Amino acid sequence: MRKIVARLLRALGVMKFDFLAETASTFPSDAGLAQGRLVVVRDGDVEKWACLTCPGGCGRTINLSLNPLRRPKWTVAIDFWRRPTLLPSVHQLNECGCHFWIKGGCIDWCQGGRPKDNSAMHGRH
Amino acid sequence: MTSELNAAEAANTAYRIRTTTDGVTFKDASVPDPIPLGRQILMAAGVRDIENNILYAILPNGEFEDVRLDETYDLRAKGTEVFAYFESDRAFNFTIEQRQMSWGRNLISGKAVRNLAGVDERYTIYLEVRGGHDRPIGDTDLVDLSGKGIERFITVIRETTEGLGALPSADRQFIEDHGLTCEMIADAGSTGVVIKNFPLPPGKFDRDVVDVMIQLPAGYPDASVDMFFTMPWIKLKATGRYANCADQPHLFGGQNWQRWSRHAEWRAGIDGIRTMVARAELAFAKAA
Repeated sequence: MRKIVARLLRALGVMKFDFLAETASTFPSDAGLAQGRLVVVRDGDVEKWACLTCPGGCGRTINLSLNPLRRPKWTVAIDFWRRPTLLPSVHQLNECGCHFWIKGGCIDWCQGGRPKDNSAMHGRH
Repeated sequence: MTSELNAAEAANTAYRIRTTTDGVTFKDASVPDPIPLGRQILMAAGVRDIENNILYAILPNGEFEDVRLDETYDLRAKGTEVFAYFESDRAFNFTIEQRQMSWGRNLISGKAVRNLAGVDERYTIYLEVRGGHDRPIGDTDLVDLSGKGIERFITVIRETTEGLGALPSADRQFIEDHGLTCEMIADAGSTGVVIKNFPLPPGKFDRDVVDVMIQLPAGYPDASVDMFFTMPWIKLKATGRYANCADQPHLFGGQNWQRWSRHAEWRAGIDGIRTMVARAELAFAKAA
């Protein structure tokens, strides 16, 4: 319900976000990840993974480990409207090479971290 | 001559298969019949005690299919050529990336999971742990499949790293103040900071600059950083050899780094990238 309201507020131009978070108890398959969704895999009290489709437009799934005892590692915080904030930044080492933050559900591209020849994301900011 | 020709012809029409019983080594074999019985496949694999074995066809999509001993199996229909067999009467099932697989023993190695599922080296395999963090499974790790429930494996490609934002602010400040160009790289369970084009003492090595990699342990910056690594490998100009204690390879992030075995005390809360840069500078200056 809250998500529907959030999407409505975005449509009205009142709120901005690129990603909304949802939780799942098991690791999602690549097919289960739509653009704009960040899936937090949570089993009991343990947050294990944050999974999203690369916002650079290459279509790859990015799986971020939330395990504090391993590296690389990230943390995710979710606000009232389910907008995620991800720390630290995400840097892809593949051909896509994108490098971004997600803050309050919005993508914040790092300098030189935004894929150039990708029209899919250009209209969204 | 005639018999040789016949043999050659038979070999041409024989169906090639590959068999494995440990998931690590695969043996080539051939069966004369395109639609053999399960027991013929085991015979071709050189199995003696056929009655006590169970046999699986590994389909091109990686799924396992049970083949009974007296069941015919059409090698042409599904393009199958790999079979796994076990001297066992019990099967242990597991899934990897939603695919069902079977195994004839309770223990399976990470290497066997990797080979059977065709997972390439860029991916880390994790065992899903209920109520806890998923456990990375190395090639030599053994997983017990006999527990309650079906074990699930997932695979995650190693191509994502934290930006420099993952470093403590003191490190970021140091990097900025000294105009260093840095990159983060990742390996299973570890991050490395690569300082690009690190200047070497003039004329001392066979290169003027080198990339220096500092591997950050999980508890960094409180946990100690030990050695550092260079890429490409550098040799002393004077001797044409590697410096002392700098001739061992270290595989990280899919690259083979030159390991500089230089150790010192680590002071939690004080030491950081600054310390390692100083350690590398000293090592290059004193290298012999």
